[in-house]
Amino acid sequence: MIDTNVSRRTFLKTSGALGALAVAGTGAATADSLFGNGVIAADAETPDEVVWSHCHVNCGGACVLQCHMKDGEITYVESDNTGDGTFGAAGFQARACLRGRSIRRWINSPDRLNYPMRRVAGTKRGEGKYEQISWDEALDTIANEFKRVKDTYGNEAIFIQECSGVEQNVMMNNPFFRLFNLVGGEVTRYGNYSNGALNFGAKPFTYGDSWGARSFRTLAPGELVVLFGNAPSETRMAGDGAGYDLTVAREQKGVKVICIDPRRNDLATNQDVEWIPIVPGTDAALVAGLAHEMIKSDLVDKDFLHKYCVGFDEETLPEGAPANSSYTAYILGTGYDKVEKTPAWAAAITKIPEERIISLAHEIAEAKPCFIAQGWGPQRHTNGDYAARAIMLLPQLVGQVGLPSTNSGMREGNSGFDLSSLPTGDNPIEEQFPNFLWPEAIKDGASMTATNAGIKKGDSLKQPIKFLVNYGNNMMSNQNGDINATTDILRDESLCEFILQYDVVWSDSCNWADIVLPDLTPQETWTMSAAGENNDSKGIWVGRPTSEPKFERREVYEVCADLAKRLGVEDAYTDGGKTREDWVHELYDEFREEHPEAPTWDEMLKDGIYKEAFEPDNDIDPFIVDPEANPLETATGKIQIYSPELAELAKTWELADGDEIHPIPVYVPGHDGPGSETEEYPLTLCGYHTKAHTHSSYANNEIIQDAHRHNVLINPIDAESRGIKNNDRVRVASKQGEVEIEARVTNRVIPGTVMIPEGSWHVADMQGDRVDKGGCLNTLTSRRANPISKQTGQHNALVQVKKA
Amino acid sequence: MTQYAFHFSGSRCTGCKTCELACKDYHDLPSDIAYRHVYEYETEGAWNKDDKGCWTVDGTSYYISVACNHCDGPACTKVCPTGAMHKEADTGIVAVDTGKCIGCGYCHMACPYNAPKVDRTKGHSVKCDGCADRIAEGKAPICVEACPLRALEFDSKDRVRADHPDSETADIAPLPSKKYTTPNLLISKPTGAEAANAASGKVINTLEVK
Amino acid sequence: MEAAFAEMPLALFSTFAPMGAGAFIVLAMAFSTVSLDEDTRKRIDKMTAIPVALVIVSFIAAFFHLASPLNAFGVFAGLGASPLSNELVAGCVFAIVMLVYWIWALSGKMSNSVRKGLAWATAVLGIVFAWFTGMAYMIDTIPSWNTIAGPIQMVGFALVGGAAVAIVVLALAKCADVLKASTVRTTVLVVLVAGIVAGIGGLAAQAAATGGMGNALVSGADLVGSAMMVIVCGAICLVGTGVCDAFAVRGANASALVGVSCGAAVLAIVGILMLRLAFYAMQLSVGLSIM
Repeated sequence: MIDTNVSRRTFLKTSGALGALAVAGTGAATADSLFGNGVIAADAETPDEVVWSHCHVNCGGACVLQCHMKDGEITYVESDNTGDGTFGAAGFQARACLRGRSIRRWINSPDRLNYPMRRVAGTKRGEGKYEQISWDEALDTIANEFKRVKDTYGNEAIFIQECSGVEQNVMMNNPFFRLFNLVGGEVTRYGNYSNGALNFGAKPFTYGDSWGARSFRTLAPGELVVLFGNAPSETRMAGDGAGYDLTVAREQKGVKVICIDPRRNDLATNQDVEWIPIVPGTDAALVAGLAHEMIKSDLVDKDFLHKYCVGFDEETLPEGAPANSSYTAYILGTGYDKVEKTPAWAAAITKIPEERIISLAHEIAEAKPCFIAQGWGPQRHTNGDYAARAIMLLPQLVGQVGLPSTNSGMREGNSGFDLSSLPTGDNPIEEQFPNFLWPEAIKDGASMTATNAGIKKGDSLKQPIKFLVNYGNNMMSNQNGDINATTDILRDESLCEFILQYDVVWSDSCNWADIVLPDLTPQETWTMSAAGENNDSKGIWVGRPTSEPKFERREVYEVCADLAKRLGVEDAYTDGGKTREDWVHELYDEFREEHPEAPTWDEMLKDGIYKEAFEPDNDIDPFIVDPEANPLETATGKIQIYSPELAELAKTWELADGDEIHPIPVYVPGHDGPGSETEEYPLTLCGYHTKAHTHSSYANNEIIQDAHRHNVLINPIDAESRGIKNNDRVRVASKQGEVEIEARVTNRVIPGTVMIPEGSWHVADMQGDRVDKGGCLNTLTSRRANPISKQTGQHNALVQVKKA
Repeated sequence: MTQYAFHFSGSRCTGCKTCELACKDYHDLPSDIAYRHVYEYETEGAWNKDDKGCWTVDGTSYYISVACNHCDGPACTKVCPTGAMHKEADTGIVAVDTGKCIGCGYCHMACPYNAPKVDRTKGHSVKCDGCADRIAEGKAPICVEACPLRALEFDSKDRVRADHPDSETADIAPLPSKKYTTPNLLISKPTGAEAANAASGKVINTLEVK
Repeated sequence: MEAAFAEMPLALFSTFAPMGAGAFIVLAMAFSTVSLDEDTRKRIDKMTAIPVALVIVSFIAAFFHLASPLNAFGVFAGLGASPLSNELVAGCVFAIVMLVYWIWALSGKMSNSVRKGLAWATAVLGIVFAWFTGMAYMIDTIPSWNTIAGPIQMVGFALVGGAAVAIVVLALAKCADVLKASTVRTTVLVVLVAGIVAGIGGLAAQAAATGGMGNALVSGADLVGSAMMVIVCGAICLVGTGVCDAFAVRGANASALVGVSCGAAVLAIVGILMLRLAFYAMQLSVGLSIM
């Protein structure tokens, strides 16, 4: 307990209009005289204790929570109310969204794990029969299984899954890495479910590394902002998030925003923002149509393209590139497919009227500056590598990247404090596989190679995964493409021989584990985070435990220390006996060495947070100033519209049927993409991010789910032909599986497409009909990876919808 | 009397419902009782398909966040048989005298803003009281302080009007015409707002606003 | 329509209360126009327990509808301002007069002229109570209820339901001959027809108006549509009550009378209850009120 609230008497001294209201009365009688005897006045004479903590899941934010405590329980939370909170004020307030605001109910959720559990002997994974065991028994089992797998298969068969549920703090799942790295290491992954195609299928071949991204705070008055599949009002909801930044810019700078999205997202509702509905997965076709109009009407910035880019036209193709392999050739119909990419061609694919494509091309070309950004929706399709690169191409065509108030065509940028996390030591095992392919790494790990599965830092995996650690995630039967196929792999105990699930709540994934361990929530233990990793804000939050652990719940650092003891490396693991609190303290002091102006540790314990106001970088980029002196980290040192690396991959990689690799950002429909609808599955399914939960975190917190109900968005045209009315229960079926879900009949989704938010908890009888009554998106999605990045292309599938 | 009023910035709201959930947290409300609701309103709009199969859509959607509007002529106090539902003399806040309330539900029926509810476990009507305890401490109501977009304010009506010269007494769909109760809710209109008496559309999140 | 079932206690209240209250019209007419011997009067007074019980049951249902029934005495504070207070005051005045009349009558110490006077006073107050019960729903933010058709329905239910109850009372009191008396028979027929016309007509008029209304949450047409089956069934029940009771006072012999009149009364209860539920189902706010 670090802080106590000041008494009401102190507040009565506050000035301002509300303060004036308060001083209208005197002393303790104030609330009564103002609001009547019937109103229960706050018991201000017994001050609440306030414990500072924060909400850190994988939303891109990290929001301050001031937990008001009474008798060891949180009575309610306040968020960041420090500094100036007025709209558009300098500085920021990391105001929590509805999810953080509802943390109390989640902490007290009936789904909380209280004791270590073991799958009942003789039952299968997925049956869900578990029995309570002691911590000693649980840890002995884990340690023995670890040793057995290590001795039998080597450390290459050990894998630690991502930890979306505890992202963005200094601990995450690092204790497991720290421990395993002391005893031989583990195979690792690269990429993620968020932006794997963008970061591994597009960015390296275009800019080499992150480059050119700026925050919405850099927008110029009256500027045009074009967003593809980007919904910052929903995905960056915090009071210091990009949604807020853009709203401030729109209101105070009069920026004009266009949202290109299959769904009217929450940016294009109340605000004066134009929505252009598009068929999901067709962004590259739209860009091609825009490019055609720009080339034909001489709207492209040729000087920029010639000076800074390779592959726009035949003149700037890199050495070794064949003739007619430039983007211009592709657009004008002299490229590999000999099809001219006219606006009419693009209109037929995107379902955006030809006239709007033409006018949009002129609008974008005439806007100076122009800010073009994509969210992570467009790249989450099987053609996402190309969609991402194509959208990145758009600002290049008009020379609007690298200059002030422009963007890379990737996600809007941000900056924040750097904060080291718990050191994990060195992992002797080099090989990495694409994140999305972990089930395949269990099933056929030994046959996954660099050329057939994108294995990096090695030619192939040495072993399939035999020992799987899931800490703080719901990956097994919720957050990975095609739950039915994934769990078929997990069910076979001859494949992955040991599975640990360690979490705060009994998610569906627990049903596939051999041992389940009960964690503390981040609010119940020591934690520290930098302000939201995707927010343009600089802050450090230190969280102290709100209460003593209840039941037999234990936090991960200490549990790994107990495992370290069993594996004979306790001293090295704890670095001579450091506790979790010690590490947080030490890492804070490390931060403070770089930032001596930050408060001392003791001050932080009292105030909980440290914030710094700053102006985001908006200078012209050094590469633009002098491209020869400051080359990009690409093969050519320039912006690559044509990537020689991709041309090489196209020659050498073994691809799945239907997959293609092109050195330029062409439009390909992708697996089960636009145009592949059938009579059986006539609709396109697309996922999106809801406000009710962050991925699957908090999806069991009913009070939020009741406020934002889980449903499938369906256009009235598609609903009417199926006899579906708003709020009806419906079945949505794909080749992969079937869900039952509520229908939201709405004009907010383009006809022919239905949309379901990802993250809802899977609820199905997996020994029976497998129909998912929880409506989890991944019951319907596929296991198809993108051809280049081998990352998640799953957010499209073809479906049919009918009344339940 | 200083009449207090809410201000809702229609063009800032993104429908996130942080206001509603912060209120539920602070006032410890169950799932089925909310003092503040966020309505998702969809204006009448047709999808138009051109001869090439491309789509355009008319109409729009907008959210509106509404709690008790502490009306000048509250429907709830008018029908209340016991006088439990009353307007505070100093502030114009509409509050429940829990010692008098019989829990008959008439205030709930009559209020066109869905503000008062009967909480049968508490045995009386419950509603937004403008976070009287926080106001007394010089703080803003919890919903106002929670809004990530700063789309809500609560202050003296004069002050709110002065701060938001573009705002008008709430008279947009899906709210009722202001003539019924003269709400102390000032709204800076969201884009595409329809006048209350010319509403063409529907609230589509009907199951979320009970 | 489902939402209306949440209002079941109120629906029961507004079914039983007017039925009990309306019974006193036929009884008062019988006392005023037919000469009855003391035994007959005693039998009738004993059976008057039925309408009295209906009123008491209805008040209990209303009482338990309240979340804090113990504060119920406060309702008189809103007299004149709150339509609910007005209704409850009317109800209490009626109930007190009814109880005074009944207990006094049971004591056997009531003169004929007092009996006539008090019976008529009870009857008139019963109709006034029914009217105010209807008025209680005339709230200007609920236009589908804010119509004179509401009180007209309630008076209609009091008339038809009350007549049905009164016939049961007389039948059980072995007063078949009283029912056959021309003044009583005419009164019964007039009251039945007037009640059916006012009850069904009032609800139909209200439904027709509601069908043309709507707010952003629901359309009146949808509300009426979902209540339509219930309305039709309720109306058929009420007409059935009229037919049975017409037979009861015109043709039924003494042995059939009890069965026919009880059947008619049950039809009246079912019919009025259905129409009351339909009424609650047709709540349509000018704004965002959700049942």
